[in-house]
Amino acid sequence: MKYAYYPGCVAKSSAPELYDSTSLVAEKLGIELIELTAASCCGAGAVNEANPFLNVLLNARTFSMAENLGLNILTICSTCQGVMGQVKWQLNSDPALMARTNEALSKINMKYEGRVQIKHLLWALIDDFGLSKLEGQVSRPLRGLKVAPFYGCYILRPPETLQFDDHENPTSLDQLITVLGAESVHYEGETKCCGFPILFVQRETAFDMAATYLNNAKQSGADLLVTPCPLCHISLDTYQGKSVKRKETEINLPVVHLSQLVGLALGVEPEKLGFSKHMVSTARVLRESLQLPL
Amino acid sequence: MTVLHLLENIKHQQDASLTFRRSCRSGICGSCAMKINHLAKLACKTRAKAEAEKHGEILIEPMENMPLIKDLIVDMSPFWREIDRNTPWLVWDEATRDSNRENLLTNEQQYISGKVADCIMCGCCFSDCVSRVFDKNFNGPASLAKIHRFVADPRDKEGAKRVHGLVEMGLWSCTHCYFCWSQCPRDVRPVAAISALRVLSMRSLDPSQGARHVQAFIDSVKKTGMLNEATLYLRTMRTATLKDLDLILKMALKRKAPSPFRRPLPRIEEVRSLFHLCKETAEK
Amino acid sequence: MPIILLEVGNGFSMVKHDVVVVGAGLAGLRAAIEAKEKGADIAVLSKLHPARSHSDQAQGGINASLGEDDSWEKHAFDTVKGSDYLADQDAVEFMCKDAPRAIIELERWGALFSRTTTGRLAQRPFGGAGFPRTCFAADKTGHVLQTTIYEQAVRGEVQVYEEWFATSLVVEDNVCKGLIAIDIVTGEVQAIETNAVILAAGGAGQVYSRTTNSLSTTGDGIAMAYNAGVPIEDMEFVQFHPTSLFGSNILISEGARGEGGYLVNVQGQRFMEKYAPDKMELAPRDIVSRAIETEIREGRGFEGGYVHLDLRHLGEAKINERLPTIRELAIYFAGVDPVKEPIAIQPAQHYTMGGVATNFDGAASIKGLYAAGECACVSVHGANRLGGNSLLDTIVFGKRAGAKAAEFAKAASAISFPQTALKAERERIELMLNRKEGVKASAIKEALGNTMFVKVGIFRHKRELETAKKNIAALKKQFQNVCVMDSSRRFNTSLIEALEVGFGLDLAEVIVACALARKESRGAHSRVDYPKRDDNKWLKHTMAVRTATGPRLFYKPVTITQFQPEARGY
Repeated sequence: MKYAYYPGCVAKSSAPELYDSTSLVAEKLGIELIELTAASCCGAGAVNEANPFLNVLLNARTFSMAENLGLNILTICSTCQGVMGQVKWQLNSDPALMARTNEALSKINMKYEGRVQIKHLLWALIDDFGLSKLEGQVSRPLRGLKVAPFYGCYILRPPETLQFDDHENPTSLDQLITVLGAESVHYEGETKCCGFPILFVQRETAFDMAATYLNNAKQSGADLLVTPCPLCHISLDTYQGKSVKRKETEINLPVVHLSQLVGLALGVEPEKLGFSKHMVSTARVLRESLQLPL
Repeated sequence: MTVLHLLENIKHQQDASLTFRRSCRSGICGSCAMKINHLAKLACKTRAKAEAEKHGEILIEPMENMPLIKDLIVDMSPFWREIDRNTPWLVWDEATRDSNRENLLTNEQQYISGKVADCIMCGCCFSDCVSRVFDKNFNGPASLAKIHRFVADPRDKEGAKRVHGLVEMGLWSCTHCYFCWSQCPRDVRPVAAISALRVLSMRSLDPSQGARHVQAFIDSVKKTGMLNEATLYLRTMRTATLKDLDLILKMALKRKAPSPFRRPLPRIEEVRSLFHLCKETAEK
Repeated sequence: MPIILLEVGNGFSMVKHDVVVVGAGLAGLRAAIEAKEKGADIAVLSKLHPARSHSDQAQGGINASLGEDDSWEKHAFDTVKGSDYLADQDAVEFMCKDAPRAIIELERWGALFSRTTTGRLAQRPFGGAGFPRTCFAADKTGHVLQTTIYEQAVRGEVQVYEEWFATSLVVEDNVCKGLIAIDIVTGEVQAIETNAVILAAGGAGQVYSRTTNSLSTTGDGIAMAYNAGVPIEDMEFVQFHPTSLFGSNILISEGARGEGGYLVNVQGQRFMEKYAPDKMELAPRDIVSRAIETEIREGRGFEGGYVHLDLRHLGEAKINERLPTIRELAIYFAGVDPVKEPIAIQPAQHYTMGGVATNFDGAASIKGLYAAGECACVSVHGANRLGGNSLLDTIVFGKRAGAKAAEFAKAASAISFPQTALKAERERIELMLNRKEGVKASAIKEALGNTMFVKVGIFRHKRELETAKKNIAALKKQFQNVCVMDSSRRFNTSLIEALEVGFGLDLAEVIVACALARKESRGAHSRVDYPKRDDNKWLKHTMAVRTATGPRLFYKPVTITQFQPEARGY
């Protein structure tokens, strides 16, 4: 398995643990990642609100780079996945837009042919690698660990632009959690929103969102929360202390990246997975549930 | 067999007191909006068997974000109040009152308005809107989409001026949860309308925090090709940064505080060319 | 706007206005906007939120002679011929002359009509029209117009009593005094004192088991007028729309045929050739419905009782542009994509040509009472309505009735609402609510609907009409013992449904009486035992007035101006 790797901006900035743990997981599973080092930011939905056509162009350029390599794109961020999925869908359904896009790209000697597929690591593991094969590679089954999946928005909706999981009843994260040996915990809010898009704009609202859903997960018995999006991680981990303060409650629910959870089950040394970079400590949970000396 | 058929059957055969709204039974009047298996849908358009097969049961509840009157009946006043906060009618030119010719308008010119005007005011988007749960000042997807319907209509005399009052009504409160897109029975895509309104707001020099956020994004991508988290944060938050000093310190200690000094990506000229090309091209 | 209840002593409170409109569809809101502009203190009563009104469901289009080679005279002729010469031609002329103005007004208000490539209003051919004069908004014309008119009503600050169900018209000494209505949310039965009432509560489709009409289209307005002693007109003329989805009877617009769709029987034949060789699928509705019904009865329909509407040859692009709604309806409610497969369709009740007898000011026989839209019978549709003329009717006569009602109210003297009427109505409703045992309204409704569709349907015969008459009488008797099965006060929709069934029974009795009496076939009224049209004896309107022993019928001549009755062939 080989991909044109698109780690996104945050993995290379304020979530280095995501980048590092992904590398380790890829190594363990024999997945080759060719990083698109010249690919720009996907826009995260914000560029689309300054200049929709620019949003299309920037992402079409990324698609073109992958096509030049003859590879599909692998993302590790739900937001990147969502934004790129939308742009691809727009281009597929609007031949006039496609023509305009390629006309612009031609000025920088690039072309988008519409072939590339964009997959989140979660999807690649299920679709391309295979869950039973992954199960075979699990050397440290996460038995006893109760994991709450946080799907959030961008990896589920709008359904026509993503077409992987059933947005009404998603199971991808749950399946992965199970295959890693842990128990998946359901709670209200797992498909809602972490509030990140309005975190720096409407702070209190974002905090209330995050705190509510974190609390629900905690009340449902979760030991930790797993998310496929580093922006969700910022909201749910980095800002967890501040968001729960508004609710005048303590939650202390550790939040881990998808690749960290997978890495843990694949037997990667926990110190290497970057848990120490989190704001909410994972130490107690890992120690108690998995008997890890952390 | 739809969920509405089931409800009617229960009401007429088992319990006459079960109360719900319904009228057209063909997905156009919007009366029967309710939560079916946790998501707002029109009962008359929801196939019972498919729901049961997918979810193992059919859980029927009243819509969210609106107070309950009885059973599946909610008081939609909060929804209508939000619609009325704006000017939910075409502001037409009084001077044309006695005209005997129609305004000239092509199908292409009214395409965007037409898409949003498919809205049947059922309330599904409002019910499932995550921002609305936590922010009661948020005007909501249907109402904002309706503004876009008029802004995009060349006949509207207010036009882009309508955007001016939207910041106070939570234009930047939409959190992109996309429920309004997935739950709309008419494929109106209110979130796309909100994004379009934000574009217009940016163009009219919106000074709000939300606009600053978008502007910082754009500037960052133009300069380095990537999102510079540090500058994005500083430019959006400004002095409010003080609120997070403790967090920033913690992040710095863990060596994950983003640096404000970033080198541009390789082939950054390509990115900058694309910026330039967008200015030249007329955009939709 | 807050509703103000006035205390008038004896624990009696009521609502007071100059003009009250019952119904918030196109006719009702258009009337309200007009009356408000004329300075009346007006309110609209609607048992649904205005956005839910049945007008919202109309699909195909609205007629006006905008084309350079068209004229209001041609439109009028097509309308009169379509009506099988029963329409009052002065009213038809008025409507057709006013049509261009009315449509341009809607466009000015923001209606999103489909356009030609030069930006003008596009027009398509419709049944029975000699010229493509049907303006349309894809195939969701009703939704577009209802939305637009509601927006303008909000702009005009028209007050709406939302979810108020009118139960009776209050008339004293031949003067309209107001209405009694149930505030559905609270269950309170309220009096509304008003100088003028405009009934715009739509048709009576739910009297039939197979109808395209919404579940709320229960004939309330027509029945209230009838129960108050007001003559209702031409009730035997019930339009059956040829193309409703087999099974659900959801409407598939005439626009599908206007864009070129074919009707095909089980033998693969475009059978309309036998019935209307010139107009084919675009013959008027009564002719097409009878054709389909005949094909089915004579064994050339598909098993279950339907024929095919084939749109495949139109191509996906055209269907998506012009008929997106019906494509979605077919996929959603019939599991068929018309781009790939023909749609199974059958006729269903669709429109009530009859209604409250009015002149073309919208005025009924009682002072202060007006009616407009499907609720009224002016008559512009006579024995059969052309597609596209109903939406036109609503806005032309809605406006007129609104203006005239406002004028009347301004000049009217003070009235005093008879408290006894409120007391009596409250008692009647209380009785229904508190009855512990009895017959279910839904059972009565089902039985009524089946009787009506089978015996007072597309093809009628004395024998079956007599049976229907007996059945209806029996059901009316049962209804005296109707049990609501829910005694709650707040938001009791079982009570509302029971009252609606009551209205339906009242109208069914009239429909069958008028159908029995009219010994000819004309327009939508087709008597197998009297298959010919008989202008000598029957070129007249049927009027029905309530008496203690049932409807008393009398007749009114048809107003003829330009078009002498001729044989009607297509």
